[in-house]
Amino acid sequence: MTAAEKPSYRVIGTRPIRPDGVEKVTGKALFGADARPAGLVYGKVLRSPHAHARILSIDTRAAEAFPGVLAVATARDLPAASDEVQALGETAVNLKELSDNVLASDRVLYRGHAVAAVAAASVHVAEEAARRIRVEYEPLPVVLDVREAMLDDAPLLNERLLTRSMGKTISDRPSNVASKVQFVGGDVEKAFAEADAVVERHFTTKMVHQGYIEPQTATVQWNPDGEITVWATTQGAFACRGQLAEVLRRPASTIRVIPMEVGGGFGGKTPVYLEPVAAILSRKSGRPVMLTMSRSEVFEATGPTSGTSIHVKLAASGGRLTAAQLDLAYEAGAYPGSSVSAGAMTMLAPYDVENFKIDGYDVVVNKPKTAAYRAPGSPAAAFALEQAVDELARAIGADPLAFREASSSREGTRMVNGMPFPRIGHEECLRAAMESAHYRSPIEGPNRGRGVASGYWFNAGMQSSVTVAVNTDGTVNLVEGSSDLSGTRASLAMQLAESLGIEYSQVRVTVADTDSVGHNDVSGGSRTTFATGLAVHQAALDIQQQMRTRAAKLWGCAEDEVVYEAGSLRCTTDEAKTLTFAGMAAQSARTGGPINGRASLLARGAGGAFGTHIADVEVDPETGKVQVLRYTAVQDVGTAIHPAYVEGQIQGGAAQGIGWALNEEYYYDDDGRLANASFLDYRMPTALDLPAIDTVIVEVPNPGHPYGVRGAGEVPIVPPLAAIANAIADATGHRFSDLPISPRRIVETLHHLE
Amino acid sequence: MEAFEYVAPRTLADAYSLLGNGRRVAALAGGTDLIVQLREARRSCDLVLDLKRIPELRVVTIAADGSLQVGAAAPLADVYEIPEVRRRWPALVDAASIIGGTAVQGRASLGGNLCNASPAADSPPALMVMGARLRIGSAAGTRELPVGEFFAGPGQNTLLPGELLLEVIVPPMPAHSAAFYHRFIPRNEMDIAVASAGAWLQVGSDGTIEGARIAIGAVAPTPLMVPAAAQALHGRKAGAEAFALAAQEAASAARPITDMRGSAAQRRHLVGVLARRALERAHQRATEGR
Amino acid sequence: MAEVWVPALLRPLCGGTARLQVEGATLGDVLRAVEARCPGFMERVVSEGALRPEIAVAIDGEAGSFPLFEPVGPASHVSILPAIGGG
Repeated sequence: MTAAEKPSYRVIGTRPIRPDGVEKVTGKALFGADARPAGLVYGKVLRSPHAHARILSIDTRAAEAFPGVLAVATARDLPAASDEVQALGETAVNLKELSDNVLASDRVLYRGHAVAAVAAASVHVAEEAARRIRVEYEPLPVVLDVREAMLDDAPLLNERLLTRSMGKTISDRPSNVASKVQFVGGDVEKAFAEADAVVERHFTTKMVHQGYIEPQTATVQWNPDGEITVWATTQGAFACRGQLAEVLRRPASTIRVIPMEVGGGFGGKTPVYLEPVAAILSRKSGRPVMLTMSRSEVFEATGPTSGTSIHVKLAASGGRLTAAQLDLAYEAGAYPGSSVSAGAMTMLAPYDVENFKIDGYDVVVNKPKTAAYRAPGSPAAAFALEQAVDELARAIGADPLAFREASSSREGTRMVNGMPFPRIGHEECLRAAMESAHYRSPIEGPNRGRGVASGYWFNAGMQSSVTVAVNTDGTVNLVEGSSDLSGTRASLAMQLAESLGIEYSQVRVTVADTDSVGHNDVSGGSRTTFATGLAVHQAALDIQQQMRTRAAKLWGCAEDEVVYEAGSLRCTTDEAKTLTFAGMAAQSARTGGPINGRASLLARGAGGAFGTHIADVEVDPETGKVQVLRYTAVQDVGTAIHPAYVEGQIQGGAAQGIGWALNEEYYYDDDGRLANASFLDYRMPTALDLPAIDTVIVEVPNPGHPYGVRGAGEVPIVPPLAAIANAIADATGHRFSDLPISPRRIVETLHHLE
Repeated sequence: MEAFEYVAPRTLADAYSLLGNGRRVAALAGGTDLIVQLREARRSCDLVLDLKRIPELRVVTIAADGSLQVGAAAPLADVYEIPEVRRRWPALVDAASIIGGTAVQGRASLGGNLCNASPAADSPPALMVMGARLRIGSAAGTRELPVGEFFAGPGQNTLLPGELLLEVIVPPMPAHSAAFYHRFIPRNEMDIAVASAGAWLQVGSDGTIEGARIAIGAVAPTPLMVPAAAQALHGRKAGAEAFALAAQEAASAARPITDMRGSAAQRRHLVGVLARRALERAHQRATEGR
Repeated sequence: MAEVWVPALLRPLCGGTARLQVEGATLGDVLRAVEARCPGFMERVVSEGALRPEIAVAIDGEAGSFPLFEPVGPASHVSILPAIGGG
């Protein structure tokens, strides 16, 4: 939007220091592993050395007898969990599978699957004792690749698993395909027959990990009276409590989850892994127990995102995209529940395509159960689609951005699931990209190339609760329950200050534990600044209303004659009667007692959002090394509450996407052993591998939010995979359709090595 | 991590007396490999013998004969920060300054890098092409051997029971000669060589190659000298043609494996590219200022 | 009349139709009206009085697991879609 259209805000759009900033930069902030309840002891988990095996027996006697051991836990200590699906942020989990994933009962489904755990005064004693647990396995055949797992004769992970599709079982015998989705519109065959150009290509991506710095850790104290306290690193204290209550079969009210600072989540800190195990060890030992994963445990046993296999066929006619036939198979890992439906629904979102047929398959394989990872499902889909779009634009001689603009979705365009888009900003992103200094600059020199790509993410609403206490000195305390992963304390305090007409510095924010605030869904789906922001705004309106009621009584005027504006109350019929926010706050005790605002809501109107990225690369054709020379990320964020943190989100997403494009992958040997379970060999980009990432913030306000907020955190990881691939294709003349586009892949391809 | 004993003797004699006796002893210098291996249970031992407190193992000197003598436990930074080392043995700096990051280089030692005997270690190819020798000691006395004879396989060196690596001796570079070392890593930091190559060249005033050595890393169970590459260069004019021949020999000598760091085919290809580029850079160094 | 977008996998129940116009003031009414035209539809979408966990509904562009009493406007658009799973 133009500057003239944009409402003028006092606080929104400024860049104040985050409330948690000083604690974090001075090392005083307390993360999960900083929990130190009195009498704390430590545990260690024993994990499966097999990628697929039946557990014949577990003998824990030697571990129990080991000096210093306080407790040993196995799946026998867990109550049988119900076989039902529970909503978990943007995702859903089957609790029986969750329970089996926490401690395997009869079968291990991936290497690193937890089998037992030991608590002792020292983690080294626990580790030595765990090694003395004797587990008898019957190894089973392993299936690692998604397409192989779909074959009729593939080894089965679960003999009871049948393929489901839209409320019905569609397979007549057990399968690794847990579910199928399909979207059909128009007449694909006809559109391909009449097309000016057709592109067809197959793409694959490997499992990749979120790569958060802080490993999973959980500390649990189970008191003899049944009260359980959990110190957790989690994206959602309530989701953590809910899963724990179900797995342990305990009432939710007996469990208090204290959210510690989170050292990175990106979706990966929504499932529980260690909490139920630490709880059992605490119940059996009578001591608070801390379990912390090593880095290799994080890689082997927590949820990465799916490896995928995607077939794309696209057609263009009259200078625009007219047809798409897509087939997506996503690895769910050990249990069903990949992000394939999101992949299938986001893949064509940037474009208004009349004719489409999309099939999607959710497939179990002998690898860890996947978890959410930033815009789950969308980056791999965009990697495939946006390369094919690039190829199609070249085939008809169109500028890649102009071709995208000619084909772009806009308000009213139907998504593949039939939903019409509300006001969206893809065209605005494309235009901003075309007008950017980056895109207008030439790309020169040998072995250099430029690529562009767009991406979409739904963004989520879900549930939030907040309370705001007004203090008599005019300051306020905001108590909320959204884990702060990205500066949301600041973005929420800013919205509260804006809505109340007070200064940002007058707001203190606390992320409370589950006993101290109403239910909040996970910080996920880019929802916190949007949805908890809505709750904050409603709580502010609640305070305004309470103050207007009191002012009307004080002044003897009608309530509808009292206006709350820019942090002050005034009477429209008597100009002499005014009170500042602080003035009214000071009179709380005399006018009816404390003023507390509250709001609980199920947020609707989360605006989906688009981004368009531009990448310049240089490829060393002899070594296959790719340097990213310049990178610009354009994104519609609705309204940037705190532009610096929005930019940080965009840069962070782009950085993760660049790593995914170039080097990151789960590298398995044939037996299902993850060979690169460390940051040494799981190659995320370092600061030296990335250029400064320029950001262009586009603001097409979301009509579903009073300040126009759209989620910003996930969109930026969607375009980079394809933007980099398109740039490499431009630089080398070769299109790489398999990730990662590592030096190995590049030299093997360019030099025709076997 | 399993429990182990830790001793930090002050003299070599004390250190020797702690070796053997049927115990599994792990010598610790910087510890940047050893501690990680112990923590990750990739290695276990009964005794960690910390050599850092033995003064002569930390000394870095330039001897009267012009050779550089580096105590086995001297931190890398103590070596490459010496201006004369940077001037006279730049290939040593090439290697020493990419082993780990800056913080690690304040602890990690040349001796440890050698004893750890990783096929992908950075210092061996550089030291091999410079003709470096190792001084090894035991209660019975000392012996010397060329660096290239120190490696027996991945993680295996040729130290005998009761022996410690004492010193790395790098001879002075002859006139009109220079060495260069580099590796290939997919990122720009925090990686282990996918393949590496060191080259040393001595070039006559008419451009004829009078001496050459090529060593390659991460492409065999041990770092390898490639005599065939040296022979291909000898007597030829320094330049693209000769370097390409040598590079081909280096690639042929490689016996790489496929693992998560790279494929055999990629490594064989890369080591040729790296050898050629190393020769170009060594040649540049050797002929600078002519 | 509300417009209902029938997902591809349920279209065989509706004679291949992708879009239906039906009367209904709530989501439940709308789904029952679809059932009247496409026998077997309800069972695929609803279980025990609520949307199946693997199913979501979008009403006027807002997707979610709505209750069956959710109001539907006279010109509303209703899509049946798979729930956004996993990740």
